[in-house]
Amino acid sequence: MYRFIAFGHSHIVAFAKGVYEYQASDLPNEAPRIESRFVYLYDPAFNPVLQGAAEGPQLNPKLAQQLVELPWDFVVLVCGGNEHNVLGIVRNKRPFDFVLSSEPDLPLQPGHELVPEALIREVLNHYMADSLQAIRAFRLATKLPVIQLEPPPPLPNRHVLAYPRELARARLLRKKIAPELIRYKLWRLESDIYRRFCKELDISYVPAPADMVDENGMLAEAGWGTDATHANPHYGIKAMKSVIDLYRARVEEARVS
Amino acid sequence: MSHPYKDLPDHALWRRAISNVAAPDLDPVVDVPFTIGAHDKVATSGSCFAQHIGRYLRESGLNYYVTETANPIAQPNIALNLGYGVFTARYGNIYTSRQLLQLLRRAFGRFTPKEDVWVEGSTKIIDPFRPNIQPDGFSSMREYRTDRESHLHHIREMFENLDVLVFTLGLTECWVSREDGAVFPLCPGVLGGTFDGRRHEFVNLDVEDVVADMTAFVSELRAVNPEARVILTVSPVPLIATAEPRHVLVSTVASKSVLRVACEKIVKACKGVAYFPSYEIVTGGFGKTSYFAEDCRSVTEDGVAHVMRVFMRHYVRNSGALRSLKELVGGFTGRSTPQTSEVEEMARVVRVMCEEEALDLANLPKSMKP
Repeated sequence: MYRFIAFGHSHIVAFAKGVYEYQASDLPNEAPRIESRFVYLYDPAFNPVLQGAAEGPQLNPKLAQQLVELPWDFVVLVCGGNEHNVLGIVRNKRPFDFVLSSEPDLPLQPGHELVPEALIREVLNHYMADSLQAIRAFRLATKLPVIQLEPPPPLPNRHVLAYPRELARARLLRKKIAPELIRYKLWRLESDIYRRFCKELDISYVPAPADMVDENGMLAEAGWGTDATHANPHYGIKAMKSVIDLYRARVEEARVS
Repeated sequence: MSHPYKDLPDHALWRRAISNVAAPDLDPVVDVPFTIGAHDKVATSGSCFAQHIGRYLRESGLNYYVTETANPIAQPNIALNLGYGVFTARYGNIYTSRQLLQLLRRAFGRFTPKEDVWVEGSTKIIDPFRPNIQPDGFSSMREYRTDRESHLHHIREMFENLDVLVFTLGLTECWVSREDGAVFPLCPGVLGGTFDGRRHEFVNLDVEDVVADMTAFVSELRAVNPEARVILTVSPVPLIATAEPRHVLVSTVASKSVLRVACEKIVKACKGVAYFPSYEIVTGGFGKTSYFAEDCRSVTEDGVAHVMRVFMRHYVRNSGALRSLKELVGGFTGRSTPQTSEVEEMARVVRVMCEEEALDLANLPKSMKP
């Protein structure tokens, strides 16, 4: 039995639904059993998530209380994760591209303005600031192992355009959405920022399930949610299995050492 | 009896021009060879102090010319931190006449330095000619090459289209490549690269060097932009360190004197080139007030405002732009600040992005480093 509590923004929904589906399914004997709780950070009952001075905010006591209510084995965070879409879908008035340092040979979009990766990194950091502060506050609030999920890959443009309701009218969106390769790069860079941040705080970072990423670096069709930016419960199940695998490995590692 | 000193104008007489003038009213400009209109494209480059000039021009109604702008996805503070808009193009501080000349030649393909990249690990690539433009350098060689190509394009655009270039000469001391004479804004090893005495040498430009550099620069600028006008200033900011075997104060006076004399010669030799005495306003202390902060190096906001007030009065044609600039400097008349209030004075010190500060940082005791 694994007991965990998860906190997160919108991407927690697919994760939670996936875990619930998993728990409700007819599990074989060898499948790990889960006890879990999911806390949506946009829930007014838990807002503001952070309190106190901007330079050293504390976790809302109601959230801190959630951490100790049951003897959880670990904490899962699904904080932020849509910041890359801010730049990739609706904010590219002067179309841009950049060289992704982790994959510098990826093609560049002809006719797009080349901007330094450092600039994109800073802009993403700006939009990610609240999520990063929340991650830090959770880390400081508990001694339990903390695991942050990598945001799911971007959905393919054709899927985004099919679900424009929360973004804009499709006709306008068509002109503004960046090519998939650029959206992929933005996702990778955003993920890199989260990964580095988590490493500094001794938070494990679980990558998106490899089979949920298609050959273009987009979210595989099996994981598409019902809107332009989110994954589905099937993706959530895969992510949950990655989390359990990682926790098991950590426990095993601790036992050996 | 008649003699040349009889009937001199007020500005020629110390008592009338300095002794009997209130500190904020000190104005050492007598006449100017040209003025700046609201639509003239004004470009800036130079040392730390030039950042102040750029800042005032940017905030005034003047047409502050910026060719290398940040993509609008970047918030203004992010753009500024990455060197966008600090000067006309994203070249960082240009401290010496030779650096400026080589910048123009690099932009037009007439000079390609042999030592043109510093690699530190796989994801930190530093441009030796703007080592502080990105705090963590460029993240891949491909990005570095493409960004520099674009950067040089924006510099060409600047030189070809500017109406007025305000260039602030800061230093005479520089470090150059022994191989081809390429001038680095900072000594290799300070903010990137590796210092190697076999490849790098110290050069302290003398008056003839500066005059030759700037004369060549003006000539080559006019070749691509015949109507370009140039305003030279000398930075009042003292050297943060000297590589000469002598006291830094002595080196400061020597360097600034060379630059000041060179300006005199350049203005005489080149039409359409003016000298603006920001150095005299700030450094001399003749305005009965110090425009230096407690470190005796940083220029206070009142000092910068005084400089820009004089600049505005003489160089900016009366227009909406003039009124904007007047409002901008109006808050810093000098009279409003009690001269005894050092705390207030310190609060006005403007933080400028000075790569030279790295020289100081390198010499701090370990426990004091951030």
